[in-house]
Amino acid sequence: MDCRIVQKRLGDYRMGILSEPEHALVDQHLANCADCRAALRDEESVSSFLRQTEDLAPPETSVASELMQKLKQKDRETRHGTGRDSLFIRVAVIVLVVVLFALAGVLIMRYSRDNKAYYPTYGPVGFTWVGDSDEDEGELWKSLPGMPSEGRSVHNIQIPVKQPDPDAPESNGRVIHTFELETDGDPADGPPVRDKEGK
Amino acid sequence: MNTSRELLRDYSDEALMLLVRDGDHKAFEELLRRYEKQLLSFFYRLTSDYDGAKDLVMDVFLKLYQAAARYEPRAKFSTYIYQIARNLSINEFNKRQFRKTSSLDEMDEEDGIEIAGNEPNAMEIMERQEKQQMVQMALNSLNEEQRTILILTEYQGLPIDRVAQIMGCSVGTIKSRMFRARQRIKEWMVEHGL
Ligand SMILES: [Zn+2]
Repeated sequence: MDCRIVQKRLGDYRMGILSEPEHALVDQHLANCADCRAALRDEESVSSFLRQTEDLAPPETSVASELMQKLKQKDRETRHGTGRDSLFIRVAVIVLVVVLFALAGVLIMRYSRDNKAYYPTYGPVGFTWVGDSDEDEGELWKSLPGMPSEGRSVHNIQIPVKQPDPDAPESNGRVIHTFELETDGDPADGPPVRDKEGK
Repeated sequence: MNTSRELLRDYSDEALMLLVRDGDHKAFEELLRRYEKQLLSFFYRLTSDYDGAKDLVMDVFLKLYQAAARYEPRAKFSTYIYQIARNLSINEFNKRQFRKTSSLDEMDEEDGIEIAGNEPNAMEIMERQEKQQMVQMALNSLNEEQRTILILTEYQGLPIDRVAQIMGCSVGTIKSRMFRARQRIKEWMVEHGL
């Protein structure tokens, strides 16, 4: 073994991780070579220099206890949702709920307003219908949007027809008829189908 | 779900980590107890900054806790935790390079760490703090990689093959870097009349 190879292995030699034959070879070389013995002393002086203050005191406040507190706090935050992000989410949810309620209110109002015309379940509702003649009255139901055409039962309906209305104004040579409808029927069944004579 | 503290003492690191994965806080505390001091020493020698080292130890354990759900005992736990420590130290080193506060000349007198002992007198304390600072300055003369390797082998007592795993390179590479690191320390000692 030449000096260069021996000196490269001095680290392993010191740590005792050379194979047995290699360790024996280095031992043999060291016994006869002053240069390599000096190199080994250098190696050892480096180690003893580095290790001279190995015994660092433990920290006054343990990292462990501080950390466990931090983790518990983190757990709480995740559970209860504090902090900026969750505040933002909460505000967003409140806004969304308010908007949904407002939208639902508008829809309900529109629905009941629209349906009042077709399903007069809340009392008498006035219709104004423009027809060409008295004979068209039977077609009234069918012509109103959303009305079922035939075969529905009558739910206690009165259709007092003022006809011809003495006060009805003339319009383009047509007679204007005014109907008043009243029913206690279920709107889901649709409005009754009946002509003015109650047939 | 917490296993009793006395029982946990007999568990391997890997078994403890599996308990942590299942939400056992006591197992996590036991791991903390086992690694806190050596990680503190690792980071202190690496950064020469005691408070910074404490923060980094916290970061390692926070990362460990967050990663627990995905933990699989493929390698030795100590390799795993030093890999986390190593990654954090690289980040820290880059930050410090950026701030240029890592210079050995800027090392603060107050940064000297307390030395354990039975109420040593003031003179002794000063002497030991001086020695400690010399060691830190010598370590600071190495590049970050050489320093990490030397700390892992000299102070943490890890075998070379494990250091290779932590550093993500071959045993041969670690050996030659270690050789150069020790040469550099020797030069530093000569420069400083030691
Ligand atoms: Zn020789």
